[in-house]
Amino acid sequence: MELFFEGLKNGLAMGSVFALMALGYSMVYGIVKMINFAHSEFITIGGFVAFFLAALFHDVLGWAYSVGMLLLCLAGAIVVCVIIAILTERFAYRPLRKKGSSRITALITAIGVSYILNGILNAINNKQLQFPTFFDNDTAFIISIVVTAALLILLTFFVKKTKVGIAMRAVSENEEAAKLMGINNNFIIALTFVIGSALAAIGVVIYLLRVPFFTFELGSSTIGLYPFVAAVIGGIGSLPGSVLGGFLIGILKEFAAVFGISAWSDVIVYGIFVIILLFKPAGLLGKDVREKV
Amino acid sequence: MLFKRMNKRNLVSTLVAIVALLAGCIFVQNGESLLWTKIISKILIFSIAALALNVVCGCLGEFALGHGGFLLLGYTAAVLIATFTKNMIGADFYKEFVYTTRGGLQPLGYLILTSDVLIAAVITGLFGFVVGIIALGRLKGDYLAIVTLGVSLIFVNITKNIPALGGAQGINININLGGSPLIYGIMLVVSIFLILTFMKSRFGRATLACRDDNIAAEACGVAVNKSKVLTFTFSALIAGLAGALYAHFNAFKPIEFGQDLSIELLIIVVLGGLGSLTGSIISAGIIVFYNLWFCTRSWVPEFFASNPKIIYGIILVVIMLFRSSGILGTAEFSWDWFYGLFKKLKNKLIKNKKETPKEVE
Amino acid sequence: MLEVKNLSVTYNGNIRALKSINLKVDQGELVVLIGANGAGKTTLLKALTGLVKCDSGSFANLDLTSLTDKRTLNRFCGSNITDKLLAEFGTSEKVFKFLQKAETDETKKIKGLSINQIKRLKTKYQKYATADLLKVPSYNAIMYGVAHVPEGRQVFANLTVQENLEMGSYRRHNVLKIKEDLKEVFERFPRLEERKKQKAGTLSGGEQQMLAMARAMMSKPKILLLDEPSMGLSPIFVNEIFDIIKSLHASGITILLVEQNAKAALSIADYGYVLETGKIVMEGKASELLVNEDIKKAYLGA
Repeated sequence: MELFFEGLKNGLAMGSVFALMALGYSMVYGIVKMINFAHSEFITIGGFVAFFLAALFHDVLGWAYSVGMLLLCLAGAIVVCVIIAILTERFAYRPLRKKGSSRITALITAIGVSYILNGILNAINNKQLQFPTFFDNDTAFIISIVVTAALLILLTFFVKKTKVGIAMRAVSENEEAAKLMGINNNFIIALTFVIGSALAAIGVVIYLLRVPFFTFELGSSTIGLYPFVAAVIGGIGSLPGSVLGGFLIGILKEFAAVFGISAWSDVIVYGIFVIILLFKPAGLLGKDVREKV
Repeated sequence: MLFKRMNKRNLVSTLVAIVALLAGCIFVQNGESLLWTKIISKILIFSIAALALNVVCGCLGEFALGHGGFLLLGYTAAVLIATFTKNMIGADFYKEFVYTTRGGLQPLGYLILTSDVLIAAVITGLFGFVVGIIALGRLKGDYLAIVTLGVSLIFVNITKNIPALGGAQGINININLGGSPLIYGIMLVVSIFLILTFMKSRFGRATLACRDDNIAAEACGVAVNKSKVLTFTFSALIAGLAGALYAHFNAFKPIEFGQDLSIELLIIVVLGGLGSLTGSIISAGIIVFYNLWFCTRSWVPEFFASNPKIIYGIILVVIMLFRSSGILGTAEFSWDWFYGLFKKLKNKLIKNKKETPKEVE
Repeated sequence: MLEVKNLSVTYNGNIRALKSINLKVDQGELVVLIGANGAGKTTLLKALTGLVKCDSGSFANLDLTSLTDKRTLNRFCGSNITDKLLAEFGTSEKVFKFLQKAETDETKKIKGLSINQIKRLKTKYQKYATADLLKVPSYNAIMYGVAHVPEGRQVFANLTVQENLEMGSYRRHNVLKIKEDLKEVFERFPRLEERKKQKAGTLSGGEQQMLAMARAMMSKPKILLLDEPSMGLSPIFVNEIFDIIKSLHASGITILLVEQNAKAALSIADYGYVLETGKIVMEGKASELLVNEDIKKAYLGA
């Protein structure tokens, strides 16, 4: 029984991390209709910035150490991730949209970008680096749940009630009609990437709070495709769906670890992924979009 | 494809090319350079794998991102069959009738090799059939790509965890059952032949119709789902063939068949041109050459050698931005074009000759 | 008033969709463009709002009192000058009317502004007013007072009716005025109010057309471009839509209507153009076109 609760707690903590990253994937896919494979590299970059800042300012802040460091790392990671995201969108993805390329072309370009970023990051260093711990496990757990819930609520409000949020949904529906309304598509799409990458940054910092090890393969291998799988399971394009998917995957993974079968977690996660997609291709909370003839 | 007109010249050219290829293989095999043997072998094997992927991506138009998994299946199956045969027959018999004293193979050896490769291919084809039936009917586009990737990762994970199938270190055919450029060359020719037969048959044409427009194809009486599954199975079969050959080439760990390999194959196919079979072969050559020769040269900066991913990424992005159809697009290398080029050159030379005498005057 | 000069559009380098179109719509007029399928009518409208690239031509909206609110004024001449102008004239509409007059009355002094400043402001406005809209990106067409209701309605299917209407007023910032206009729209289209929380994709074709037009009206345009509003609608709805267009016309908006239903269109229009394979082959008063023998034979099913 004790194992169960430990697994549950770890699962929720891990799940909140996956949920945040899944939200990032989901927003971009929902609005720009492309799978941003490079998202995993944004995660690594965010983690790197956080690590760098933590190492740099390790001794500076006094009593506000924990909270201060957390905010500092968050801020730094978000800023850098957002910049990288904007550059990627501007130089790699926007020209494709202008040309009217197919989705697969966009997907392959995203893979290309992720390889480039991965290569650059790995060239810097390929050791595993220790991240300083700011909080004990329980506090970190609470922080992650609170942050995830807060962001979910914020995002939902943004997308449903604000002008720009509604404009984002309009752009995802019909780009041409949106232009006629005076909506600047390029700006909206860039904004989407900004939000997505900011979420990735927040997610990775929260992750590092509990698992304080950083490698340059963090986004691509350690965390890997799990957030993406989470987004798809929950229903890509659906915000609560991504969060649900994130928690589900997190719990699956941690239960596997707790019961000693973490070597099989890939099989379990991808297995559930395939099964869910077979019976509900739009994801658990997704909308079934039928092709109109 | 290779020839628009099935005339004598094209047929002869193709035969000559095949013979040249095989002769080249024999030459390399008996040569001194281990590196070149390795390079040529890998090019041939990867060509087969790329062709398999191209059938699904280029001809069927559906993106499968998980062919690494099928290669793993072929590899594992081949190893298991070979080991089983060896255990059944016994090591002494092997020394007598299978190997030659120089480490090559006797006819019986070649027979065993061919059969384990073919059986492995068929087994992989069966798995492909199951995956195809489950996945292709319900999923499209990006989703299909990710699911096939997920399935391949499931295969990798299972293989990694069960020692009998490989464990983390992987299994290999620890008896040298040969495997040489010549065999791979023959298999490549066989694969091309099989694929061409498939594509020219009604199944192949149905596949192309599905690529262009699912609904229109259905309206024309094409059983869309059936065609898709059939093509996918065929592709898995060829991929399994490549995987089995890979087992004779070298020993690999299951993890090497994961995401990286699948994406490498995708890069090869996209670079060569979706739907272009000769394109895949050419780009397989380029990629393998880059990896095994270029990156190992001492005059190449360390950066490229240890970070091939950056170059892959740059290649992908550049190609997608500037020529998303790849080197050859959907066209094939055609003898007509080749000879046409010849003619142009000839004309140019003749023109020059005609002019020079005048100038002398 | 709207003026199109010498507009040409080519697809794929060699298919000439439109050849040297010249077109004029006077203020408050309802002008109709009729023609067979493939004549290029939709291409023309798309070219006007930049959804399709043109090789040549110009498009000017010479009556630019669009979006008369303080924020636009601010952006146009800066908040300092805006305050002074508003102090002098009262409302932003009056300010714009003042700017529209190209000549400067040297005797009339405005507190805080020199004659030169006023002259420069007026030149700037003239440039803005005669701007070639073809050089403006699509998403700014609306800032020049041009609202385009595209072919096939193109409502945002997964957004509610109300959200669709709100998107129409995306570029406006006067929240109170927007609320008022929304109320007006609901009064005019009670059916839309009934369904205001429904997803737009669940509405019938006719209702979607109403929504698309109402959405365009929410931007308070000076010019309305309507692309085949009656297409695919049941006869009852076709009548309703044309009634709506008539009433919009009556309220003073300049309308360029593209239609395949030549008879209905010509009977409510002031002026008409006939487009055939990318060229204007005939134009004239709508009432005359209605009785013209050739037109009758080709488009009116006489």
